[in-house]
Amino acid sequence: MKKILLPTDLTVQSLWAAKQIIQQARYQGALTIYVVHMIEMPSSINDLLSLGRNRKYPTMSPAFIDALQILRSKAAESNIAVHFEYVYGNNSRVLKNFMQGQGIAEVLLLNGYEYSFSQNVSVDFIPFFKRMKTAVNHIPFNIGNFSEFQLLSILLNNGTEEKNEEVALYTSSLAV
Amino acid sequence: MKIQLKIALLFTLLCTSIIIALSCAIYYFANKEAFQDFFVRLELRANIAARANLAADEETAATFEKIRNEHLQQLPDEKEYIVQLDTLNSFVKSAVAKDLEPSFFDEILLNKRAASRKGFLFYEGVFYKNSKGSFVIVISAQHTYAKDFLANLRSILMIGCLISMVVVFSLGMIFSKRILLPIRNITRSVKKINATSLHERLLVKQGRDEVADLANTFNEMISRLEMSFETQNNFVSNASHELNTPLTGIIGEADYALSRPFSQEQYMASMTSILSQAERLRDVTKGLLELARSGLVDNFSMQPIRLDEIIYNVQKIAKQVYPKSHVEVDYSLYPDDSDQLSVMANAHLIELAISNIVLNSCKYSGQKHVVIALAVAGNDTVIIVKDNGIGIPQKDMGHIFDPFFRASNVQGTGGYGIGLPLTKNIVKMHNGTISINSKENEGTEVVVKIPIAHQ
Repeated sequence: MKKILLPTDLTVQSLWAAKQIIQQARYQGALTIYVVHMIEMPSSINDLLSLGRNRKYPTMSPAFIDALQILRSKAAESNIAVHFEYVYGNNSRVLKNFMQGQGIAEVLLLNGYEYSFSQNVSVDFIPFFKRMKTAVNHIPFNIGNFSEFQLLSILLNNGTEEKNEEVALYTSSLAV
Repeated sequence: MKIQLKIALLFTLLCTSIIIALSCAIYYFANKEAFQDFFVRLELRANIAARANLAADEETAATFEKIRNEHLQQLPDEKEYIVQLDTLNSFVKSAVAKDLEPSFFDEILLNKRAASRKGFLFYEGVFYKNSKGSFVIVISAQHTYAKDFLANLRSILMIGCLISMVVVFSLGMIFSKRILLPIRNITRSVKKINATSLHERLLVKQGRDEVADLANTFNEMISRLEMSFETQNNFVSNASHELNTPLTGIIGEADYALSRPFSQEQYMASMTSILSQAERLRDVTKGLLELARSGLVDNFSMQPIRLDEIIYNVQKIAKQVYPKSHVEVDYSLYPDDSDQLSVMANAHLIELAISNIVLNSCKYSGQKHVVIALAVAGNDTVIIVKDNGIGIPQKDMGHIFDPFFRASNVQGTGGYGIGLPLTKNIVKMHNGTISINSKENEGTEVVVKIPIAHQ
């Protein structure tokens, strides 16, 4: 079973790739997509011991939660599992450790998308992938195709996907 | 009588009775117990008198007499009686001893001393025995100090009672005023609310006391009233808005059919179209009636319906109303299991709600694409409607669900500002949520979530 890591900045845009895979990777065999967001390790001893109540998590927008749920139900139909995980830490070793632990062989990044980690506890972990030996795939994402008002509709066919050969090529490469 | 006065009077009554009871107790016990020392003084005098009068030798008697004259001050009304034991019986019966009980003398014989009191006249008797024989010495005196003291105490207590009564009553008035202040405030606020200002609410202070509860209950009641008022008020406007579309269709079709002679088939087609529009008219009327009733009762008919069928109908309606529009259904998130598209709903109402959204999209996006999609998120069915129309200005976003509100950029387009509030009401009735995201001149995305019906 193939496992892919999909970094997210908790926006629906960052889930776009998952939608493409789910839509095109039908009947290609079992696949697990780990949607991962990295957050700072807690600094207080209380949080370290018990992950206390005051622990600050990044805020997820309702649209992101809905998008994740929609993708999860849709993916289940094609034997694809979608997991959301927080990774605690702020260096590449922690990330690598997580990936090794989960047996993740591939990372999927959106080319042309600027991940924004504006929330306090979030860590910009995109640069970490450069230093890794793990295969990093890029699929092109043209933010210009989408408007600012779009939230859940980003996951719909916006009339550009059919022409996106690289996405098709990538998803067909996932075939086991 | 006002409750404030009632509370103050009750408070005063309670406090005053306690104070009076306390004062009586103080007076009673002061009168009874505070003058025991006077008996001791009388007893001393009785002993000295006995020794002065009955001492065996003259010298001792003279000494005691001297002590008595020099050191013991004469008490008011002080009298001493020295009675030989043999003559005691006649003394008891004599006028002198009329104030004394026979038991007083019995006690002297038994305990060697006895004390008695008649008003402020105090008696002390002692038994004295020496070589001259046995004697009973009785000393009596007025305790004028006790008389003055008790009179003083009595007037202090009475004046104290009166003053405290006044103070307690004033305090009671102040406290009851304070206690009832929030209620008076509520009354004042409620008086201001009438049929035209049902949107106003009572100010509720933080806390979980009875008054906050009362205010909250009032607010909830006003909310319910407001809702049913609104439903009633909007009904006519809603009805005219929703009935207008099919009516326009019927009139247009009839106009066209009458414009020139047609073949029988063409007339048939016209009549079929008119019939379908009329049927829609009937359905909408039924739905609106149910909406109006839903404000008062919540048992309008719900049954499991498939949202994909509704979407299909809505697409058809949009094509009829806006023939130039391009409404597409996006199947990319469509679930394989069609059971997940089944919701408990009233078909007419939910169709009305979704067609409102889609027709709005068509109306404001000209010939651009309008996309409808269905998806499943957890326990909800999600309907996404996206258009690339004129959008809604940011400053209007907060009011789009207000009845009769129309965004500032829709001038020149027909409408009453009823569709979205009606849609929101219908979605709310189905335990769903509706959210709208938009950018002016770029487009609008509407997301409706309705819980999946579980078999």
